[in-house]
Amino acid sequence: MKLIEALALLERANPADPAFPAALICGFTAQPLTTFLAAHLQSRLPGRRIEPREGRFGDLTGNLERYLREPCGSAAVVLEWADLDSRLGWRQHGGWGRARVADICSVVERQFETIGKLLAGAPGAGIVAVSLPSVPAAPVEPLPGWQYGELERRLDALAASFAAGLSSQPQIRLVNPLRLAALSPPQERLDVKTLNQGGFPYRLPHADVLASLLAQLLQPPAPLKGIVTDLDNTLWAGILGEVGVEGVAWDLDRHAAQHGAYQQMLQSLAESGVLVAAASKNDAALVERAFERPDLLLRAGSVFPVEAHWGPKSESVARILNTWNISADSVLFIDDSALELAEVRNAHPGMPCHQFVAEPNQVAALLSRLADLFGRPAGSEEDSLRLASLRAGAELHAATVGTESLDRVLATANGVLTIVALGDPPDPRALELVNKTNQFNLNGRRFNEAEWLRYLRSAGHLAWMASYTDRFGPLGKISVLAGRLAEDGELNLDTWVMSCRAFGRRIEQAILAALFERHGIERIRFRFEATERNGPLQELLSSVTGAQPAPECSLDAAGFDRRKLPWYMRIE
Amino acid sequence: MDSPRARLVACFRAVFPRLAPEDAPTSTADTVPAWDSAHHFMLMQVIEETFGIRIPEEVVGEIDSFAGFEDYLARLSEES
Repeated sequence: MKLIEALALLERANPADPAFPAALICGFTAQPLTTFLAAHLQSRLPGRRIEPREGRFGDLTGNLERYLREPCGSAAVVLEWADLDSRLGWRQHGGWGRARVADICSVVERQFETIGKLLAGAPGAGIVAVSLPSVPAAPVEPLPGWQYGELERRLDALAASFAAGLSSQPQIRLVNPLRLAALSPPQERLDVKTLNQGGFPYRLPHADVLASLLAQLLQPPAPLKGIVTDLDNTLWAGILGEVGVEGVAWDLDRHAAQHGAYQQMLQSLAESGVLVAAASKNDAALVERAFERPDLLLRAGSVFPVEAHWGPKSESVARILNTWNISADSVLFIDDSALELAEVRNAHPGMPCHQFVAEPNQVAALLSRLADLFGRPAGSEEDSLRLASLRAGAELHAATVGTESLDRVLATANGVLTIVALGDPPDPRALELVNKTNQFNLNGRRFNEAEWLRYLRSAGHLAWMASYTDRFGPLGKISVLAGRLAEDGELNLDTWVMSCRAFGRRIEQAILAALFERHGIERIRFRFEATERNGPLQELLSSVTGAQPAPECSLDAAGFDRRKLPWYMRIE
Repeated sequence: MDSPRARLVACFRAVFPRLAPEDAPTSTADTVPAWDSAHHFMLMQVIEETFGIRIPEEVVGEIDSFAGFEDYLARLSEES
């Protein structure tokens, strides 16, 4: 992005949109880095108006202290060597030379300690993106450029130690120096002219790249949810029907290690909660036997469902999406055949598709792309439950298709719904659910971490999180409700989300019953807004209120009693 | 491609969004209330990026008007 484009993008923001404050904390002149950061955040947050904030020139730790005393929502801390000790910069002339190396390192170490303590002491400040020094220190030590000198080594060690010390702070996210180097070559970053002229150390392309990575840390793109993979010449080398179960390969000896790496990546993604399914034109019995091979790196239990038959791949994909209950745009389809890719793309226009090319470097690039598309800042306990609960959902569905009615199945499911009040600090799963749930979502409202904390800590506000388990397996934490309770017993429900994994068990009915019966609420006023995707929530409101859902629609205990559906679970 | 004047007007309007396009060519640091040292620095950066030039430090402080930038760009163009 050019600076002029960044300025224009910010100027186009609607003044009526809710503000999203974004602070840039550094010791140098923050502009135009602030403009780039705000513009990259603006492009990621349509419907919000980015409100950039800066600190004072030359006061890195003071700026950080002031921000952490009153965190505003989103902050990027950008470190440079000269802000840790001015002798490492170009503007001040405190003297260079080997004799100063030890003293400079000692000052830098103390500065890193101070900044680390400040960051560690503010876990409630929301996500903070941190960039380690990205432009080289001034040539304090007179050495030829091809020699890695003592000062550089010691500074790099101090930066690495600082970064490692932050690893236990989940709210701190560090810019990846390797990705930064790939996008902005180190020798093209420093601008001594603008540094001398205005205190700004970066060339504009570097400022743009750095700001874009900081914005991605602060507002990561929503990760995709599932992968549908082909098998022959993709998951493994060889065609199962031709070479047999023992003939397909993914090892170095048979020049197929790139397929092994692909399998390992899929297994690792599956363990982090990504859904993995297979769609293959193949003999189902052979595929089943291939998945029994003990040396397979992608374990059979991690792949669900497996569509192996001779029908069109687009139909396999449709069935997989139906089983997962997620939309095509959340799923990546991978196949080595351009024809199959075209057929699936044609039937599922929103679905990203990628051709698997077995050349090792192309597979390495694919794995890097998969990490970008599916990676999450941190894993959670819920991730490991996702696949199990989908399998359970499929079993439940299968049980209700036969002679048993849904009521009979649910009545014997031994369901247990647990509803707990959110504590302070709240379980991070609650905000994750609020921000990623689309279908059962009262109004589509999203929060950043600081906004969420401010909301929950406001007077009169209540929030609950619900978990569910039954004989088909645990679903984990699947629903969040938040609102304000008035003195007359009316609950203004601002937020209600429920994972699509929990559909079809009448958990939403049980939650409403719990609000009325256990929490003494007399009436619920829903801060409802229709969104493109919240049809399931609209259906519930229609059924329990007996009317088309509208903003501020309400439901009282008597009305709910008249229209509720039976639910079969113990509420704890 | 737009004329140098049109591109310079775009630079000024990017940094001073409230400046009307017809007022840009006559604008100076005295007539634009928002024109302080920080905005001057941003303006330099935007002009350098847009025209693919580097304005020397000794020139940076001397120019304080649209006309001054226009003259400077014209001189650069003649020299090249």
